[in-house]
Amino acid sequence: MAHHPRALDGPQTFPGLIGLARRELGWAVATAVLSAALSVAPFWFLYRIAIELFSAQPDLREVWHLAWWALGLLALRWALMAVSHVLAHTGAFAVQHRLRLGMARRLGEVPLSFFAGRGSGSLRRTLTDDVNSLEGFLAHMLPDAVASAAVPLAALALLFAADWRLALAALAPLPLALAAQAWMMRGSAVRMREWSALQKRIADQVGEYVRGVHVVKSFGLDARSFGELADALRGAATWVAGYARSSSSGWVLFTGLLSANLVVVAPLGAWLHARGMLDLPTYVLFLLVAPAVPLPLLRLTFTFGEQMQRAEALGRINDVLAAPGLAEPADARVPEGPLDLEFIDVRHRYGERLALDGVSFRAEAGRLTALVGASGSGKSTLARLLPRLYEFESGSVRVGGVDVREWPLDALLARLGIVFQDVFLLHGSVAENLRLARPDASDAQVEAAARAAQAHDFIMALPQGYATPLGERGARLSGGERQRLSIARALLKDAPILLLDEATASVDAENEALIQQALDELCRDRSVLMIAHRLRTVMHADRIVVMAQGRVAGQGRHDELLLDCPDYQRLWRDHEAARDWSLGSADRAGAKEADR
Amino acid sequence: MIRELMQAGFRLSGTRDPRLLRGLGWAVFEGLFAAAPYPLLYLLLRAVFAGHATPGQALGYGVAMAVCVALRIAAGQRGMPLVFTGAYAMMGEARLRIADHLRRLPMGWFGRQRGGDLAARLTSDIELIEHLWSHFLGVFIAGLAMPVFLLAFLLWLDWRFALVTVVTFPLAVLALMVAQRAAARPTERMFAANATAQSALLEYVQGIAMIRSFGRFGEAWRRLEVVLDEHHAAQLAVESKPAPWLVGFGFVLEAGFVALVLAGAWRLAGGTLTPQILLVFLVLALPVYRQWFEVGLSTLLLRFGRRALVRIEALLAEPALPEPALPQTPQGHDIVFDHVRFAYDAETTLALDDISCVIPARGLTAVVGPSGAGKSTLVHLIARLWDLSEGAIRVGGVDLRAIGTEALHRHVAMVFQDVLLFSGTVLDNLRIGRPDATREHVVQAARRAQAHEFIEALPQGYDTVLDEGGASLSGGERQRISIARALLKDAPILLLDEATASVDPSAEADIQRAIGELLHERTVVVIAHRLHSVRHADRILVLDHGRLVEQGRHDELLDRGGLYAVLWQRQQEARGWQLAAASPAAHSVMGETP
Repeated sequence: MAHHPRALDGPQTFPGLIGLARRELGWAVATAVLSAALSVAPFWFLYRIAIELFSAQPDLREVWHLAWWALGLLALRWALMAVSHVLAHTGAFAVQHRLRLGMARRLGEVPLSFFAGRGSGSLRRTLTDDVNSLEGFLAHMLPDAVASAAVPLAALALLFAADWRLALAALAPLPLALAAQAWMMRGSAVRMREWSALQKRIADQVGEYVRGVHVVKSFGLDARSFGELADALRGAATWVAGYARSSSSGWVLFTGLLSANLVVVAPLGAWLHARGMLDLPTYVLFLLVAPAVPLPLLRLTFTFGEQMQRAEALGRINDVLAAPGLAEPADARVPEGPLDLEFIDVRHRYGERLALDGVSFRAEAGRLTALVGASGSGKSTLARLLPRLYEFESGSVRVGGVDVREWPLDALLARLGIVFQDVFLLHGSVAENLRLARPDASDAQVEAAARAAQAHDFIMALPQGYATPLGERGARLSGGERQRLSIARALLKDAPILLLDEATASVDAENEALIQQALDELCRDRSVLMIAHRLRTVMHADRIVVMAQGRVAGQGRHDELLLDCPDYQRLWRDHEAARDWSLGSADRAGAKEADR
Repeated sequence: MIRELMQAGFRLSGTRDPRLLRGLGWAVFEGLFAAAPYPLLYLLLRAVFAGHATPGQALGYGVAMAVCVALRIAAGQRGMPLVFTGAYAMMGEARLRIADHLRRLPMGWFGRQRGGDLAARLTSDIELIEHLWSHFLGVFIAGLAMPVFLLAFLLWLDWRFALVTVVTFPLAVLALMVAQRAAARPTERMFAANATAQSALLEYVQGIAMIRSFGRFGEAWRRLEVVLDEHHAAQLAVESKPAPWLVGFGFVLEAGFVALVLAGAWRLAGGTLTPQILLVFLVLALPVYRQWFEVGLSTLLLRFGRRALVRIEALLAEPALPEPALPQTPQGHDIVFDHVRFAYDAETTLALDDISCVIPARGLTAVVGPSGAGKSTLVHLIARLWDLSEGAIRVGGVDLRAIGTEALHRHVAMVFQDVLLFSGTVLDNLRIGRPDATREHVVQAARRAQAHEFIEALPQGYDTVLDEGGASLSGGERQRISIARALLKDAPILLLDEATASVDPSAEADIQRAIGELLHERTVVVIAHRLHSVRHADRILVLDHGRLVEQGRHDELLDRGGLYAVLWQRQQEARGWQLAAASPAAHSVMGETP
């Protein structure tokens, strides 16, 4: 059925990432080193040309000959560079692709409590931007770092072979530059963490702003007074100001000094030459080659600063990769026989808030069990525990006599059809959204499910029928229409267990009645757990479980509960009152008589 | 290109931060002082090659060159913080401006966007530009200035030979242009793939519960994989397509150096050039080539920046709902629909077709009708989430468009069908309705919306921090917070779109009672699916397929025997059906209930 993406186990380290594309990156580095070493080679020929030119009788044919050599090596150097570039990126993107899939896969496996406290906006950024930022390390820094070591070494070898004193002089600014860099980097790990936190805040705020723009608009909020958005942006600007002030000196000193070795080499060479201790061709060689020694370091430092941010990014990536997924025991088994649903002394809390406090009841296979109770009494939580969206604190949730934690998770999910309170539609056509439940469903099957959910007629009235693209959040469909799509989707899945969480709350009364009839039909040989506020829709359920403040306050059939369950009596009374209650009747005497 | 980038930045932020310009000015000086040691080097070399350099001279030039380096560092130290501070301040401003522009756009525009892409433009794209401005602009300008100064010097030295230095430039520039062309389409593809990936990943994260309910690695996963695979392929194309041309650019540029050697050798043979001049050129031309290569590479990076700019500017170019120059104040709070026509898209059918009606000030008006009749649309139009296609809506005698959105929001409070809570405390979320409300006012509103009790039961009460979207609250609890938010706002017009669908019956009755109390002094418009709950409304508007088919009081409408009567009949039957479906035992109990 579903194929599993390649696993990416646990958190990653930078060397570990390299290991993921060992071959490509290895060759990329090798070719980068060769290319870097070759970048010095032409100078050797120029050196020889200089010797030729300064000789008493310059042999021009020899000069041409040497020039062709230089050109040839130059071409080779660039060809190697191209190879290295493409290899490095091939490797880097392969690693990124695997990381993304690995993270997405992990997000599919963690309990939903993982998402609480992590904004979807910052998770999006981790999956995209943070992963993208690794390109710099894998495709640029890695080959650059090795090449940076290779070029100065090759150049230095050349220079030391020519004249050791000047070679040392060419290195003279290096210790100073490195000291400046160390000074620049002081405390930068802490700073980068601050920076990441600021960026995360901005991303989350922007995400919320975009998502809630209808609320923003209708409450006349403006961007400047929206939550902490302006604060976060101002904070970022202030942070940058502080950072630039404190670290720019070190940075400028570093770059300035690194590119300044000619300032040492040229006068010293002239001085040595004046005293007859250095010949001209060697001097020229130094003037040409010495500036090349520290340059790669410069590029490396650019990427080094970014490496701090990348370490932060990898930290966030690992936060996802290392999140413990739902454990599946090796001996997970699918039970035979009827799929009763059973809750045994279940406790669960969201953060500090106790949501379920020792809930026990049983929903028999092939029966309709209703969950009723005030909002916040824990009904939806119970429904969320069955597909293991959340891990409960204690007790046991059983399906077919086997604890959900001992089921193979995919097999368990395959047996559950769920209609959530909040309908979530994906970007795509109506048909695509329905087929999420069963990709291979025929058009006839899709339509049958839609008809059962009373959705067919309104779908046909859409501009392109089943092919009509739905915006995100199913924009432009009414709440009731979205709910009917969501029901159709669950029906299409045709699973033996059906969980309906306020499935028809926004559906108008006559459609609700029709859906109820359809559900009745479908509920016949399924185990159904139905959460409902409107008690009349479930009063004929085989069993009604009354929830109050995270506990079971009573269970039984409607008539039994009316007799002996005070919580249910009160719910029923309120329900009937609300049913008959009508807006605008409070101040109008004798309103009841209008009800005919 | 660089100019375009800068001007676009000024446009985006609406400010011209003087710090940035000053910083860039310093960058030019940085370039100048980076080039300055080379003329000194020339003088030194001339002396050396002429064979009359003294150790003292060498020392003197050395000191002078060191001074240049020091000046360069000093200029950088002045300039860099200015550029950084200016760039980030401006981009922060740009983000606020864009966010502010977004809220002025009609809702219809949002329906066509994908949230992940939109958020990405406000974060990733802006960050890219921010990065270009801060890390890149100064370095780029300094890097560009240095070879220009150097080249000027070479031209002064021997203009014909200096021209040889740049003889391969046209070819190199050509290679660079081809590289850019080769990168153009893959870049487009990459941006498109990235936008899709951003949205798909956001959707995946936000819809994870639903997605998992259809199997962890089922259809939704397959869709995500396709998107990520395409992103991967697009990334590869962007890097590999222009690579050969870029390499060609680098090669041609450096080959220029060899050409210089050869031309030098040729002129040397002809006796028109001294070895000294040739060597000086060789030494000085090298930094020019190196810098040009870096600059060339940067222009490719700039392409990305430009693409990001285009995406952001496209946002700002979207026409906002027009605002009146002189907002008028509504006299009273009756709402008049005057031949209102509205379509969500130009090409689709009318969602509202020629609606004319009066919603009197104070009292309750209900909007009813079959699903898809246009009920929510009608109410959204009152809050001006969209602009009309034709006709007018007047509040207190003033056209909505003449009131202006700012003022209108002071008059209208709205509860949406889908509740959206923001991260932050419960109190923050309630105060969205009225930022200056005292705690007492907040608590009072929460009590009326039947939210006070459960809020008090939260770990930190009103100061409990909610997760994104209020994920830890139940649907009914979220809805009650959104009602409290609207009540707190205390606007004279209250719009309720299925406000209590997820609220349990006990709370619902209380909330309806609280809303009932408001009717004396407020204009309340409710959308109701259950006709029963609005049968006492002062006026009922019956919509069908975007048309107002009936209006009047409950009894009048029943007497007319039109659509309302049919709907009422059907709902009564539906109620009856529920009874019939119940067991006989339930029937007898029904008789006993009060």
